[in-house]
Amino acid sequence: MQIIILARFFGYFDDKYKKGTGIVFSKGSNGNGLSGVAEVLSFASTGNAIPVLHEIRHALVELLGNGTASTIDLGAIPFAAGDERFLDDVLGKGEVTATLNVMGTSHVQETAVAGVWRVDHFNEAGETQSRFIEVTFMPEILKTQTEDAADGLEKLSARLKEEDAS
Amino acid sequence: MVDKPMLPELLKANGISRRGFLKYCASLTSLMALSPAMMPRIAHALENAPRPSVIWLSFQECTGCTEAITRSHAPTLEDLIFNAVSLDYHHTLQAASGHAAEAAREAAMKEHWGKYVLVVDGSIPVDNPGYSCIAGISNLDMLKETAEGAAAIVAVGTCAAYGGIPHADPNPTGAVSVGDIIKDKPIINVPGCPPIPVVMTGVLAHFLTFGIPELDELGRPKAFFGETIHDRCYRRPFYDKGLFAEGFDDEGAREGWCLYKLGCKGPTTRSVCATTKWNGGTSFPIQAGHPCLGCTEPDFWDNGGFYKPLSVPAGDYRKLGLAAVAAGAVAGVAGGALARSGKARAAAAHEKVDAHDLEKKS
Ligand code: SF4
Ligand code: SF4
Repeated sequence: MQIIILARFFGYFDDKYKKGTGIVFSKGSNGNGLSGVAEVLSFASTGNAIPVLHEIRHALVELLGNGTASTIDLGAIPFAAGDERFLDDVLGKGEVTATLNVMGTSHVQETAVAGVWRVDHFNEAGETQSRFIEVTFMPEILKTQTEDAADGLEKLSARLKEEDAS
Repeated sequence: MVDKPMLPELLKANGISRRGFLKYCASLTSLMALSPAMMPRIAHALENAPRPSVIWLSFQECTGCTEAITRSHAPTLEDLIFNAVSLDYHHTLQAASGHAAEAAREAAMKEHWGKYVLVVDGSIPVDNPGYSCIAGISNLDMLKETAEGAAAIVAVGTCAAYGGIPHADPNPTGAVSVGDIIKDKPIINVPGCPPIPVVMTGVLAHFLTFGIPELDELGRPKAFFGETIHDRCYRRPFYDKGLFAEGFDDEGAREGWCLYKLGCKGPTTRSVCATTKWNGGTSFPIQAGHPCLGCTEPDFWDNGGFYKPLSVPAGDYRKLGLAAVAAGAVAGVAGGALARSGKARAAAAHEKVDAHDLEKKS
């Protein structure tokens, strides 16, 4: 069955984003009932991925022009699964991937568009806390913070003192 | 307040690094629906703001609101924010009871007079204040007394914000909201039955960092109540195409079509259920196949029936509710009088319904 889902599903976006393109896809013959619905929805699009990609492009111009880094909160934009898919497809995977173990995990990944990073924070239960696109040379969260380095110095010094004493 | 540890110290004591604090601030910014550019300001405010003293009063309520906020199964953002305030009095959670508990409340009030945050869940009976008392003090007296020294009041849950279920037809106790009684303090309404935990903590976090958030005409923070369920509902594509489930077990229901005809109040209900969801982002009622009841709106319980589509005339309950809110804002004591006249009218028109009738009517 051919199902056509208009990217402009959400009528209220029409005036804001005239550019929404249609997505056409085929649903597999096994796509029935609930799994079928899930499959249909995984392609559903609000048409918001394209404007976000333009915003990212603009941020990259700013970064190269005057060194201004910027952050886009993906949680603040109505995104359907299809938008997420489209964003990932266009940005791709880059050279750097890092996993942070801090209050749960955080995934930091440079996309194939260098200078554009995905930063996803999860809590201890693995639930998503927040999702960002950072357009920067180096995401702040990857750098060692001064306070943590000071802590580190304290710990190392204490350890060496113990060694001296023994 | 000065002797209490600040949030960063609290995090450090829990073995959380500065990097962890930054992650926390980033998620908090997103949670409060603020621009990511505000993150450094939030970090700065959290580092320097003293932890406010909080007094939490529970009146005519089911404890669902307290349950919702304290039942996180893993240490989450909510826990951390909740722990960042110093809860000086919460008679459901504290060990002390009766007169000892009241002494603790009075001591906290005295120490932080003019500076503490008062959180209220539950409505206040005004027909006979004796309907609901704590240690012999009526809810009405306790609210008035405690509100006097508060910097701000947070009305948590639909009962405290708009009267909620105790206020529902025929309102046997003459229940009114906090805003019907207190007129001279800033009141932040956080409705929901119960409110989503992150919304409650987000409001507290906003208060910690920036003070009172921007409110809508019903006293709700715009960041969390700016959009309707319908604006963000994943079934919206079906609504827009005119594909509706007509029963709970028909083809449309199985295909996940829009629940509008089954009484969904999503189009007139402002809340973040559709995006934030419930139980750690697992699901929300519409995703489970049930229409939204509209629990963040005044008089949702009497809004013409949960299973009647919105286009069906819903009687005058809703109008009365809004009028009460509007009138209450102008004339101080009108709230109680309105609640009483509403009650008389409702009692006269009182019909008994059971689940079977509900089915028939919808
Ligand atoms: S299920 Fe309710 S909120 Fe969702 S689209 Fe239908 S009417 Fe709107
Ligand atoms: S979906 Fe509607 S009824 Fe359910 S919790 Fe959210 S606002 Fe309340």
